[in-house]
Amino acid sequence: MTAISARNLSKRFGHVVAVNDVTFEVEPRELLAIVGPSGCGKSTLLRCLNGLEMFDAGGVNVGDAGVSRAAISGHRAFERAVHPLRQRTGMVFQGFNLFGHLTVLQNVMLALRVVKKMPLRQAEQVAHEQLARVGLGDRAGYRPQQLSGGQQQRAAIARALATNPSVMLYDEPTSALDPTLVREVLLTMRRLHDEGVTQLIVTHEMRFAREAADRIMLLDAGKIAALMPTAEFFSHRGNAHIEKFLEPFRGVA
Amino acid sequence: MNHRLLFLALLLLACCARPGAALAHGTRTLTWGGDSEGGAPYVFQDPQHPQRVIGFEVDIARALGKLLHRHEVFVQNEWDGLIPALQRGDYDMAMNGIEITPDRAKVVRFTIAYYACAEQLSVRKTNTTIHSLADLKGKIVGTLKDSLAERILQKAGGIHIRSYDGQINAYEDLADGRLDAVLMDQPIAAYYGKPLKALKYVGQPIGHMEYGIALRPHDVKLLRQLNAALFTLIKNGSLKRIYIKWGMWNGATRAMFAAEVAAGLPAQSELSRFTRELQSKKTWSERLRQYGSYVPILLEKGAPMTLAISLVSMALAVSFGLLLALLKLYAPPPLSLLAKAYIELVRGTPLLIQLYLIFYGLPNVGIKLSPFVAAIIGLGGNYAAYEAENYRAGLQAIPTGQMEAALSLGMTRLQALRHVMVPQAFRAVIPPVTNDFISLFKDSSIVSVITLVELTKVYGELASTYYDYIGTGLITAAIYFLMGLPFVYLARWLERHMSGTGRALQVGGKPVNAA
Ligand SMILES: Nc1ncnc2c1ncn2[C@@H]1O[C@H](COP(=O)(O)OP(=O)(O)OP(=O)(O)O)[C@@H](O)[C@H]1O
Ligand SMILES: [Mg+2]
Repeated sequence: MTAISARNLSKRFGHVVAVNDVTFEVEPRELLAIVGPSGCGKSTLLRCLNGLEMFDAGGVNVGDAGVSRAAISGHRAFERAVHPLRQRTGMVFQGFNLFGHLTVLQNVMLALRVVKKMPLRQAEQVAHEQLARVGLGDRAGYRPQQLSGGQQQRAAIARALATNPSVMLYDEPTSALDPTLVREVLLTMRRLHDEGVTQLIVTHEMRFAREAADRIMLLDAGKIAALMPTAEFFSHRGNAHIEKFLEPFRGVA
Repeated sequence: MNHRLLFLALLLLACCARPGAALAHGTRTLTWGGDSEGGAPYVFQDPQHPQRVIGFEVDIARALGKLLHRHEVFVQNEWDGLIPALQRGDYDMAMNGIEITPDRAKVVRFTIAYYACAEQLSVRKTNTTIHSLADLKGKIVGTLKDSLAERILQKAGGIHIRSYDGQINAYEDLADGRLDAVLMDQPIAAYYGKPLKALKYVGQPIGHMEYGIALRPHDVKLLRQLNAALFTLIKNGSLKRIYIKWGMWNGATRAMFAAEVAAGLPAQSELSRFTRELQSKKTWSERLRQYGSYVPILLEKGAPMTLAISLVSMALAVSFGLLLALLKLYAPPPLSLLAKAYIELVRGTPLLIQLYLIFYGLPNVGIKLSPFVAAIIGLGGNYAAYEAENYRAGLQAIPTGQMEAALSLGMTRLQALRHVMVPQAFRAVIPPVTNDFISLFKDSSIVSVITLVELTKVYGELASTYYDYIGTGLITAAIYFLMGLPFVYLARWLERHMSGTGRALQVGGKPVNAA
């Protein structure tokens, strides 16, 4: 059974077709790196997968939950329909988006209490475990503003992991970080890969993609230009899209 | 600017500021102050020609002017301020149902009385339990503020007194069932109570009072002239004819006139002695002692109500305002439009009008609110619109990523609002809300217009009793200031506290504090 899949997914903004008839499947435990030039639709695709963008056509499946756009009319119905997708996915944003009025621990606990209705003690315990998992066991009582960018992003990862999602979605998790802080976040995702977490990561870190990803998806103008195992992607000859995209990275990655 | 223009502008200003006064020096006019909003039969706007004022006092003024060979000119002035304006020199005399009382006689000079009457009790026709003053214990009774009737009710004790500025409202409230009885001067009862079919008179007329014309203490010459003129009008029956015309001729006035004629005009020597007494100045310590005596009255009668109204209104404003902001921003069109319309309408109309509509307007559609509830709804509902705008600004200032993070964690939009958006907006909104509370606290003085006895109302009562607007005014202002101060500091503390250690997370059960 696939962990997450999209069927003929499309999303347009006015005249811009950001996601154009995209179909793919991701297996459990897989790490899929999504790459492509700026504006090709990576973020939009990722946000369609948990319903943050209301896609125009197609469908998304996560585990046993599925949404088909054809069966839905109206914002409200869409919002209701994608709720199961959101409960089965965790999302990490470029800008961390930690809740500024809460401590790190409370950030991680909030969804456990509000969504999962978990008892207080248990929620605290889970939150501490998740923070330890990303190496922040000693920062539970801090406010987000008191952490470095790398620590904030790891806290955001712990927050998303806490609800035990079957798929993690990352949108350029290291793009807002100082170069010196990028490593700790990439390491965290590699460790999660080793633990068997299914992850879809939009990234510009081609070295990381090459070393950690199982497969690479290259998007171009909203369409999948390539989707193949990592080794094959980097050694591929004859695919104009891949060659054009990898051009700047030659000698770097 | 050209000098001549400047002069003209100043002249115009002077005329506006003191109607009649500028005229008084040139042509021989007799300016007299009254309140045409006070109502019939005293001085009021002719229903057929609203530009013109009529009333029995207008007739008396005309008769006096004729005798004094002076052209009488009416000067409109709010009833409460008739005597202060007289002292200021806005007109030569004040005549508008002003009862001759010892308190007033300390600050103005009265002519001989021109009318005598008593107080009349009115109840609803259906009422069978109230027959006299003695039956009023525990009842809600309306009266005019600062009147003999009010003093009679206060002296009787145990009565819930509602003091009105205008007579119409009191009688309408009686007919509506908001009051159990109304006690007012006979002429007022005859013109406003009697015509209402739902009401009836009960009991004997209560008390005795006499109206006099008020003059500045040093205007001895004018006093002598007016007394002589009144004496003439009494003797030749002119006053009686005026009272018959207005349906006011009564036994009390007949008896009083007889006594006045028998006594003759007050002696000259007595007058000048009286004048000297009045003009003697109070020492500073006497004055301070007097001011000091206002403090407990203001604190006991007014301050608790002001505080209660402010706190309850603000609680309403803060909670209803949040609801309005959430509806405006996140609700589907019909509800969001409704919230938007409410906010715009309330912010675009005066609070005073809103209070009048709620208190005096709603009874027309069958909603009768007590003054307290009306004040809370008026003030709270008004400030809610402003709080809503504060919240809206606070909510919109939160980055969209916060909402998206909450949604992607599986929260519903409502849960995201409750646990992520509102707490953050709340914090951002504390400084403006604080300032609004302090304004509301001061604005609460406006509810004195709907018969609620709070600080400003008590101030008005004291000031008009002692004709001392400075002393009572400064003391009342000081009380407002000192009462508001703790809230200023509380707000500052809250602001610091909220942004520092953060608010406890309350998710269903007990609060979770930061580790
Ligand atoms: N909310 C929006 N409204 C209008 N157009 C949008 C919106 N979001 C994205 N787009 C457009 O859709 C296209 C895809 O945008 P998207 O953000 O998905 O690209 P991306 O691949 O994530 O780019 P980047 O690498 O710069 O983040 C772009 O042309 C963008 O301008
Ligand atoms: Mg992007």
